Amino acid sequence: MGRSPRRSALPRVVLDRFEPAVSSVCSGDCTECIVDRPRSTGVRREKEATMSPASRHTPTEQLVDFAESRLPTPDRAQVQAHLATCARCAQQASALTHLMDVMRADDSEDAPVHVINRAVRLFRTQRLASTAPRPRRHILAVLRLDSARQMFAPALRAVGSGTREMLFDIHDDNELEVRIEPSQGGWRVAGQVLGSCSGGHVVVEGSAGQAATELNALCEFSLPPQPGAIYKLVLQFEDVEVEVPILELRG
Amino acid sequence: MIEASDAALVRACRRGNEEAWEALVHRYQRFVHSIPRRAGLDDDAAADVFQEVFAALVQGLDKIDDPDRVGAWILTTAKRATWRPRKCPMSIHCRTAFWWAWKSSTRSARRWMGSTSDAGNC
Repeated sequence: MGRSPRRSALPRVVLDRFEPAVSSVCSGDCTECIVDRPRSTGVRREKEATMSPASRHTPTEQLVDFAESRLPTPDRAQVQAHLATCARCAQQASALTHLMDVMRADDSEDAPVHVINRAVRLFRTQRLASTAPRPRRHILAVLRLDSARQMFAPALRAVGSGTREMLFDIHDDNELEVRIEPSQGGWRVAGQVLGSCSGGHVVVEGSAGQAATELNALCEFSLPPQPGAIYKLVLQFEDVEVEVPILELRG
Repeated sequence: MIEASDAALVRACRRGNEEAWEALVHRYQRFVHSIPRRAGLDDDAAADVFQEVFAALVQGLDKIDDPDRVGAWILTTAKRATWRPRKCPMSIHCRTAFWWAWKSSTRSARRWMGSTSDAGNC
């Protein structure tokens, strides 16, 4: 039986749902199928031998045309004759006919174009925007306490001689403690973020060099010794960057 | 892309494919629109439900366990959005007038209330 030259109006995804599985075996009611049967009778084997490949199951696209009553009369008669003997194709044709009836009875209407377009734009405004990297806030740390400028510092904890301690206010009520101590002929910058903190990157850079490190689990950092000069200390968190613009490493 | 399965479209959307999202919206637009309309909501309320469903979908793409059943997910979300009490669209002046009408309980006030176009929305 010849295939209809016209492609079905149904989308491929619908046809796939009605397409028989490649490895499926006919239920047994079909007398015209060429299928692999473990125990074929002699009569059936003889019949299979005389059958042409054209007598296989009716293609789904042709069944769709049949269900839509678009097949030419000779083809329609052939399909009807096949359906009378093949349970699987008959079931498939019945399901397709039911689907056509449901589609014809569907009185729902399309959403207005501007409503659809607004929903389409949602992807760009919400999905893609949320995955794009967000700009970091850049804030300056405010010096609250500097041990080098204190005449008396009874509240300061005991620190080694020559160590300078500073306390800065940073974002979200957090504080930054910075210690500058002499080490290996230079100055070591160490400290800790006091408050809520989930890691970050610390950079100190100046005319005499630069160094960087990561905050540890306690949000502490310790940079390698740097020569005495004026530096800038930057702490980079997930959504905010805190800068101490002037950090003078000196005795 | 138009003929891809629901699961393939959802997975493509998860990867940031905007074309797949557009195909998904067009595939389900009539379905989603019909739910509030059949429930008796007007055009504006149906458009709100439509927007709400697809906004929930775009935000929940990664949370859908079975992408093949995105249609069922959409159906459930659309039904919930349809039956959720909607914000009263009346203006403050209109609400004040309604309050006066109920308080006075006069026949003329109730008749006026019944003729107000906003009456059926609340």
